[in-house]
Amino acid sequence: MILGSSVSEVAQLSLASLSGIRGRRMVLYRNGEEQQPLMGWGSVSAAESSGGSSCVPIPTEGSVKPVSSIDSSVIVLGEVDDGFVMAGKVTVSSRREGKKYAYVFGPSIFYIGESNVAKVNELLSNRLPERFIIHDAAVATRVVRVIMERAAALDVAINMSGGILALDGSLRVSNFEPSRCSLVRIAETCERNGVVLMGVTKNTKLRPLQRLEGKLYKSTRPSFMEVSDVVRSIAPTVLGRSVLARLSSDGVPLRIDILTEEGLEGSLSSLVASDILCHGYPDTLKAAHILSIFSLGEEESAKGRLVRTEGTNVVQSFNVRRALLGKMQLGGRGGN
Amino acid sequence: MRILSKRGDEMMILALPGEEFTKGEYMKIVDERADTQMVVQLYDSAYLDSPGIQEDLLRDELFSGSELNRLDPLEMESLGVMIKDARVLLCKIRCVIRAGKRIPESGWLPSRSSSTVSKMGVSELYEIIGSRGTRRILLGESVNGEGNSINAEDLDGRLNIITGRKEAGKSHMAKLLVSGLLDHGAKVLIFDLNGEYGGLALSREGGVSRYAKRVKVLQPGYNLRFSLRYLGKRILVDVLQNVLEVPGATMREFMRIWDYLEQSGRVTLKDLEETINHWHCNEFVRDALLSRYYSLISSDLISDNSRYVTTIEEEFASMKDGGALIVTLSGVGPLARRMIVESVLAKLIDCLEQRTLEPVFLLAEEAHLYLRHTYWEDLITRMRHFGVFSTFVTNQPDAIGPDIYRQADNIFLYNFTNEKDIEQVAQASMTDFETVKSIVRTLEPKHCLVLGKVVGDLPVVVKSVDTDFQSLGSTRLFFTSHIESTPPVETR
Repeated sequence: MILGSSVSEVAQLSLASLSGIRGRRMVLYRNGEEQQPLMGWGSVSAAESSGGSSCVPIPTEGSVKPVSSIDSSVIVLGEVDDGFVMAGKVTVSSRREGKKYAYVFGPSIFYIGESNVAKVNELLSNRLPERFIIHDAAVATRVVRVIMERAAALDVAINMSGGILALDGSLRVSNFEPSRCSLVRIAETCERNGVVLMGVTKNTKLRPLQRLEGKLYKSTRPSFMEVSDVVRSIAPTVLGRSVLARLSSDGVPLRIDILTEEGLEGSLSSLVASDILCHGYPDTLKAAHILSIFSLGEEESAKGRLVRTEGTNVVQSFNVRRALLGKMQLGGRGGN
Repeated sequence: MRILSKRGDEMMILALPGEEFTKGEYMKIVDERADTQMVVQLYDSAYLDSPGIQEDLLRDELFSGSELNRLDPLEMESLGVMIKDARVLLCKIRCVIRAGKRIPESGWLPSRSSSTVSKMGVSELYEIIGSRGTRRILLGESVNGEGNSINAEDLDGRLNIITGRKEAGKSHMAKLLVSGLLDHGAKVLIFDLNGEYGGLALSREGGVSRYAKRVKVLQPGYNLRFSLRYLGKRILVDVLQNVLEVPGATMREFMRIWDYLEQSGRVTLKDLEETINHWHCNEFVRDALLSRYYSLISSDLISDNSRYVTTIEEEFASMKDGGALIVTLSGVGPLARRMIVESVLAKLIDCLEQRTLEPVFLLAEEAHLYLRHTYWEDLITRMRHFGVFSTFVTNQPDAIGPDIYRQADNIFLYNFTNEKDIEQVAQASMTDFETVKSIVRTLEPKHCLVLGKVVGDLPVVVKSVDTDFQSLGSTRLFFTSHIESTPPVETR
């Protein structure tokens, strides 16, 4: 027998760990996707131990303002011997005086490789090791996404007055902030123009916040609780104040970072009054998301453009995993 | 255009927006490396369902109510639009041409990467077909606007069917064929149910057409009468048996009476009546014979007066350079109609058997209304050996049995919208079901799908040419005749 005492120890550890989950509430992941329990995690006592203030109802009579939401997406189209080719889209979805507007920029194609990584790096506030960008597709994608999204956000902030600008995701200062249109500059511009800047996170990854969601479910009215302290303790670079908010009585709790001078209650009630909410999620953000994601047709268009007009030379390729492991799929995941 | 895929006898061709296609159009796929080309015919088209298209369209529709502005620096939206509007042309493989010769389609496939796909005109197609004749009959124009002719030789000795819904242009095509045959000196016999073929003799302006001298309208009881002797015993027996349904015993008596009259040299209507009245036989038989006799008289087809009788041979003999005898059946009762047609056809065959007539083209409109079913089969299987080449015109495809369709050499198919009619024709026609079903359903008036020998078994869509004679069947309307005398009244 090849396997011996070392493996036995691991087996013991596994068995012993299982005794700890007896009687606990559990959600099972579906196809690797994270799930949330229907009425949030844990008991009220558990939530209180996680920190956070008490629930505050969101006033129903908020002032109606123009709302603009921004979302973006970037996909990797292909790889060249010294970098990556990506396509990106950013969408601004707005609601003003009851009318809907949408502005789509892209698809735009970006190449980041050895020949231009220095230039890309020059755009960023914090210079990054160049290899870090051109050797990792995820980093390159992130860089392009932040550059595109921040550019669009700054343009909207400059041209907006007294409205709400909602970004998809948190207001955390990224490692890839572009120097010309960084999140800080966007925040300053919003402040100058009387615009409330919000970062709306659908599914917070911060466990202590997940524990607090149960409290919001117990409230029958749209309400929020401030969680700035919890967020700061984990992510110190987040701008503004943070809340967990349930914007409608049938909604799910969202983490919202808010940069405002008019107070949390006023800002949230304005958002509720100004935008349509679908399960507690702003419709403009949903529209921005739908318009920014790449359909297969758009991906093919972008690839077609690359091949037809950019003088690229497409070489034969193969999938290493498929070549080594074969086509057989057992419906499983993982095992990278 | 590029080859997308092949399934069975179908070729799928990818086409981007901008190129216009019409159902029935031909295309050639040229593989220069193999010096071979494949001829395919477009029978339908569909959108290219590339992955993600539905999501794209759904998204477009979702935001159709929003004011949507796009900043598209690389103009990729246009590529997206092209992908959304890309089409798949569904084509049937018709033949393969190698070194200029048509060869059987033996599974050869053109290169998908290097072949070129382009439209093909009918003139190029007809070069490939290689017809056996030189006598052209202009039918009209093909879908790409080229003139489209067939050869009269391809109608010679053939069975043709013209079918489609009413007012689609069947009669017009029938008249085009007749005029084309007349141009080449053929002799044509027409059973004209609605009295409309006389228009061949009239120009569109109402004057005399160039066919006026070669067309003769025969009206039963007026200028179409035969003597009893001319028709003869065999034809009379035919009519009595098949049209007037005379029982066996009565028929035996009739034959004895006929023999008696013949021996005494008195084969006239008058003598026939007299003999029946005085003949020694059962009273019921006599009554039966007399009732049939009066039916014969009522058809007005038989006369004893030699000044008013004619013969088919005489009528055709007067048309040395070819001509059309139009037996008009309008205003004739159903029984008389059947007697007239049966007698004329039987006599025609008689003449052809005796070689006193040259082969004749026969055109029968809605023949099921006056021709018994067994006669149809006879016409098709036997008569062509004597030299009667039939063209049936009908708007009821189920009036023609599948056995007749199967023997048809040429079919001129007009629009049908009724699913059952299309299926009936498609199953019996000489090409694949999908082509017929898809093309026939969308044919415009005056457009027909021509199948068979006249087009070298390569189905062609033809728009019938206008004629310089009166070719349209007319519908007598109520409101057009009242329109001037009574002003329209508003109804609630």
